[in-house]
Amino acid sequence: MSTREQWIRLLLDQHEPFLMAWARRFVQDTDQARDLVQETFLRLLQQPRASVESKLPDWLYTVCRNLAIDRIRKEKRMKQQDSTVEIASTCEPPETHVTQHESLRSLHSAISTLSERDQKVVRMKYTDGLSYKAIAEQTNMTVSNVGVILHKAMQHLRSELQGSQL
Amino acid sequence: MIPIDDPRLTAYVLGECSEEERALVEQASFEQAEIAEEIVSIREMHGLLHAGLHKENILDSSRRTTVLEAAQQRKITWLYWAGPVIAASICASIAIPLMENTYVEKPAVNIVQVDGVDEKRQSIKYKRKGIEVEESEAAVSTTETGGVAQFMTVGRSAPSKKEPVSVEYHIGGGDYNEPIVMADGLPSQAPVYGLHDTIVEERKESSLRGSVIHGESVPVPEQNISRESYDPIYDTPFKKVTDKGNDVSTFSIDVDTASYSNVRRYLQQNHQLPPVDAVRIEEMINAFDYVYTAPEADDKHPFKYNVSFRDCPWNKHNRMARVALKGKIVSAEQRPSCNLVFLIDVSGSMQKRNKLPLLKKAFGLLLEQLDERDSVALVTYAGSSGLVLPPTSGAEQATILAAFDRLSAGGSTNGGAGIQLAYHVAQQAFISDGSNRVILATDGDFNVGITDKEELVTLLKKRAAQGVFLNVFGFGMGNTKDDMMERLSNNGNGTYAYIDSIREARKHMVEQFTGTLVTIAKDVKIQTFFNPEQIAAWRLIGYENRRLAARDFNDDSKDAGEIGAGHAVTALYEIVPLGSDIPTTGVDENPFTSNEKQEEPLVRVSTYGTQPAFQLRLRYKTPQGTISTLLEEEQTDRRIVLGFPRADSESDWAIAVAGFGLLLRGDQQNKSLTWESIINMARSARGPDPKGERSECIRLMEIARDLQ
Repeated sequence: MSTREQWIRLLLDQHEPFLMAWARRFVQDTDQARDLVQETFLRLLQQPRASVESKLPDWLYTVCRNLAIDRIRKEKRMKQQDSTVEIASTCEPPETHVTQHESLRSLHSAISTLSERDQKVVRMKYTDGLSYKAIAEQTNMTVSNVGVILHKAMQHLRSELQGSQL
Repeated sequence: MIPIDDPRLTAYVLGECSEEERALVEQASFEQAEIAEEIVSIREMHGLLHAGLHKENILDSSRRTTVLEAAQQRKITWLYWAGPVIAASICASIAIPLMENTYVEKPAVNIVQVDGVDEKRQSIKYKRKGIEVEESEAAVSTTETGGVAQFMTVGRSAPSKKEPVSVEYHIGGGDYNEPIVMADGLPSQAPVYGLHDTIVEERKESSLRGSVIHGESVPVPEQNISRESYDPIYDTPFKKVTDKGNDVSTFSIDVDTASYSNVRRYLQQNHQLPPVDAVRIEEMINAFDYVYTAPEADDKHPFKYNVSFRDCPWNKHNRMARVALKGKIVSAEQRPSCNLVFLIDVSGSMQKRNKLPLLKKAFGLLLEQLDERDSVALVTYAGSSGLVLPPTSGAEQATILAAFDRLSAGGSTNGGAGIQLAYHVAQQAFISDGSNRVILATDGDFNVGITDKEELVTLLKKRAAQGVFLNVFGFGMGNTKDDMMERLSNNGNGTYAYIDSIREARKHMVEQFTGTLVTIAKDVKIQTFFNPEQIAAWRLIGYENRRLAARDFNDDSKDAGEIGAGHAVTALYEIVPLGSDIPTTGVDENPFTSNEKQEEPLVRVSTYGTQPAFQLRLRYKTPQGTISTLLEEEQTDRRIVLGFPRADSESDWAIAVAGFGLLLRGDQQNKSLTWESIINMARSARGPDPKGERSECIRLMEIARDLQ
């Protein structure tokens, strides 16, 4: 993996949920928010890393917001009518997210310390929203097995995150 | 009793318990405090996992893959310049007439830079018309920010128009079987050699459309991709005076006007709202003439300043403070001799009617103002750069005009070499006590042959310190590297204007002729200390890219803006008197902790206006000076006490334009800031408007309102 890819992967892991929350303040649906976040990262990749690194993460939030505004305007032009979409009030890039949510920023690195099987189960539960039963069916385990794995995994993540905050 | 690490506790939080289990866990949480605590901790972890992993809160895998794939692509930047130019600028003793002939059909040195490199052995193949011209192994330098490989190849000459060129990038030295990145382009259709124009960017655009280019020369249709680029502007939020470090505002003045012309171009010619980052509010405000009092010829300081207050039209509780500066007026007779070196972009993209032909007319107007006191030289840059006209007396109008007339567009851009040559010529014809300037005219496709931007910035700063200043004039559209132009002019002690019409040209070349060419004060900085007993919060409107650290104010080595003769500069603060609510725009809202209560507003008090609202401090240097002069004065908002609700119409006009800019930037923090209110305010503040500029601006506001 190139260092550039590692860099982007880390930024995605650390800021993705915050940027998604930020993007959703400007556009209503999740898919549009994802477009904005994707485009923000693609723009980031067009910048020489050295020139932009010192401005992160504010750069990401500002570019995301400005893309949102440009996009809303473009849609309004295309529809040729008064739209009910309103641009959310402007606000400082949410620096507090970054300082107050150290745990969330470190979440992905904590997850990476789990075994591959446990990571898979955690993602099936949280990303795909599957029940214990559905997970058990897909992984050929018993329901109580799944319960124990998730329980242990969450305990492990808690101790990892506590460790990383010290 | 259940044990503390019972998996049923997790199942309970996740809603995966049976009725019986649920009752059991709830019973246990009543009886055992440690169980209740454990449940809270599990809930926290559950919330965290949901926030960080739920599909609603992350990119889907295909978008994530697209981003990661884009990160894998090495970014190729192609920089190149003609070798002899470098030699000439280093070796100052070469006579200028000799240089003129050395730029044609000579070997071109190509520098290709690849970012994101890890591997040690790299090589590049450079092909013209599909035939390999050159291959080169790289010197890889790995830095903290990722590896950069630089390749140098020597082509026979710069590629001509419509000649396909390609770069193949290989890992593993001599093994050329499988290129990792293949990038192609046609120089005439795609100006691929700009600083930010990387060949791979084109490939990215293409892969977004779903087709991957591999191994073929693929022209990129120009109309599909806007090559304009703007630095993002970070909006200024309100700052609470009581917060640490927020009781002081420090910024550099700015007399640029390019953003207003660009906004006008978008609205009038493209019938589009401008991109948010193209709107720099201070440049819009400063694009207008204001009736401010100028200093007398024998005044001690080269400019006069004045502060006035009025109510804020979009928030009745707030006040607007206007800081106005007016530079000393220098008449055409009094002006110093000018040594001007025009650096003209004649690359292929300049052919269009609104570029080179408009440029010739515009500079024709400027040349008419010159006479025997002045010296004019002309340098062009394209695939190669050259001296078209050696320094010539301003009295020889016919010779100069003929040289301009002969200019024709063709070739790709090589700005870095051009700018070195232009500064070199300016240094040779240097007039002590005169105005020495390089005047750069371009559509923004400014490629830097110097290995990087920082080196160019260093060169500009060095030359500015030696007394050669820089004016940047932008022409045309679709290609504007606004961010690059602004950076060049800021570092070269100069101004940046955008010429979209002959009228705009007349304004800069004729009406503000001495303002354009004669700097009366440099490194002008403003620092404002707000009085916490009067002011609760404040924001500076515009000047986002001009903010300085508070300590930079007294640091004479820190660069700031210049004022030309007769130039007017306006800055607006929106201030919240103590006792009013601070608008929520500046307060971070956290989507994960939305229930926290805002502080209760303080009781409104009526002591505002009884003490100074702030202390205004200014620093400037004389054009050749190195030590700054300090001016300071306390400012009290007396109008509210005396019962005058409004300031003069000049201040109203500036505020209306600021409102225009805020609306264009999507600032909807306040429902009272509407197009109608701004347009009405502008109409009543228009005044005599002899040149029709303000009426035109009102029409632009109406267009923008209708587009929105």
